[in-house]
Amino acid sequence: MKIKRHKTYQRLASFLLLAFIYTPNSYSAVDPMSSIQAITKQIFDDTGGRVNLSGYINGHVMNHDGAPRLTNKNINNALYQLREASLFADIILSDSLFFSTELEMSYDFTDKNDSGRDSRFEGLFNYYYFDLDVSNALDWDTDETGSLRVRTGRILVPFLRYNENKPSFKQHLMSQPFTAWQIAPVNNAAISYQQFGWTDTGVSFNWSYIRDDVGLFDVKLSIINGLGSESDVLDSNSIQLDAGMMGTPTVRPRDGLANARSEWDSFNDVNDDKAVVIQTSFSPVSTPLNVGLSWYKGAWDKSGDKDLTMYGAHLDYTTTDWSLKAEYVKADVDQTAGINVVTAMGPAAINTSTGDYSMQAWYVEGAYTFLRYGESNENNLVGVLRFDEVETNDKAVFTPFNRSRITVGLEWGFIRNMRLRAEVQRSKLDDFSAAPGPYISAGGDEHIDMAMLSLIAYF
Amino acid sequence: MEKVIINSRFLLLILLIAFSPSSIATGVDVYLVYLGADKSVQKQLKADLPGNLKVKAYNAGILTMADYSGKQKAIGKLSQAKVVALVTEKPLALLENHQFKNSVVISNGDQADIDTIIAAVQ
Repeated sequence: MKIKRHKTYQRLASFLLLAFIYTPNSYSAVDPMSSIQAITKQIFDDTGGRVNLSGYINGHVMNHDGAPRLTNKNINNALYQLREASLFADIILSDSLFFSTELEMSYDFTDKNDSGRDSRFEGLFNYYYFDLDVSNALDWDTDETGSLRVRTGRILVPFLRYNENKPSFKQHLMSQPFTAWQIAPVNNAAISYQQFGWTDTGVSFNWSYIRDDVGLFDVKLSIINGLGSESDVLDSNSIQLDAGMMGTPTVRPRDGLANARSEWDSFNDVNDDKAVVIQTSFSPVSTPLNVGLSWYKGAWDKSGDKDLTMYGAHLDYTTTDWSLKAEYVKADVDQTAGINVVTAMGPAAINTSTGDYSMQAWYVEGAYTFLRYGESNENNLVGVLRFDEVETNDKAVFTPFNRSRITVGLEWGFIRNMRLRAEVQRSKLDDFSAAPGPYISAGGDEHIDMAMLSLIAYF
Repeated sequence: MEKVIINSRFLLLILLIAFSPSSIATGVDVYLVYLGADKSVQKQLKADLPGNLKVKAYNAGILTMADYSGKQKAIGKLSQAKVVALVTEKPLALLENHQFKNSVVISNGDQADIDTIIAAVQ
């Protein structure tokens, strides 16, 4: 297994090195997205700036090693996917009223037995909302009063920094941190790859105030349907291990809140209680810094008796060549002990709930642009390093989502509006010594490695 | 047959909104786009420009924390004014260096700047 991993990294490094050496400098001026940009610019001009279309496409090949085989998928075999093809539309209805939406599509080229996806093509409207700039409509002097905007519809939930920082071509890595996967459900279940961004139906009030010699204060108060579950436990996701001679036991992996959010076209709430989200941020004048705190509270169960409370903190520091990002999030879950919602045969010690519990995750990511070249220095090479850690464990005997992970990435802006990204990861399961026999028989290892090559084009 | 989950009703709604007749014109003649350090220049210009012009001010500093969509909307909204008067070129960095067709760059709010804006409106 170690030999296989070593070869994967070696091939990835060799490919990048050869591509870098043999890509002529003259290619840097090539602009394959210019024809699409010409169309969107034409629409922008023809509508007097009322319709602003933009978007991006991200294709990748991803390879895991050390993940357990499931009965419906095996991610240890390579996954080839057009992971996101997103079209953003921002429409000006009046000087103070706007409409925004994102059409998100994906296509899976992988064998369905490996990817586990039901359909190769998936498409949906990830968000769709109206924005009203109240302060502009009422002609306030925003230097004195600040600016107030109201957003309603299916909105990107303002919690931590990562979620609203779409689209992902604005990031340096394609893989998402644990804070945005297992806890704040920005990223759906790993193989589904749809609905990038935690969206929900509701209303959000945003007040921003700029104090010239201090900085920008920003507060968002949102009332949304909230995260929930029709099940008696919040993290109700279950999988079936392909454990060979040890059978195919069904287990609850306790993978966090990824499955607690609603479908993109659902306006239903699991209960009558709305969730409240508050995000406060501050950006000082003197430093390219954005720091903030987030808070979420809402009942997650059908009767509205059990609360989910989340606390988060974020930090972004961005200079021309350096960037540093960090997030921390903790989720407290009210839950009854002793419930086993898994009706199929499986290890009861893993599936039975243990009562109230807390989940947490954090990451820190640094990036440095160590080479710029080409016309206007717009081509570059960026090195990225991220460390993150997650614990979704409700003190069950074992969960694979009590782990730490290191990610090393290289981003190459090799031609205009296109980027090539390579990243490798190594996860370490914290309590692997407690892993049950079927997990190990299914190929589950103490270390899970991942290598990914992504091509991103945007317009 | 592959399952396609794009809801046709949403698609129709969005197309209707996007391409409906532009009946709600913004009616803004001049957008003064500035950063906090140039607040006094913006206020001076707003006071000195002729009263028959509809003049609005936009502090681009607010885009420091705007999401991707927020910047796109700011660009679209400003594009609909007859003139985008940039109080120095500094706000452009927050507007993704968008090249406004109808922009002028002004500096200190003096009579020459006022003349430049009036000429651009006409």
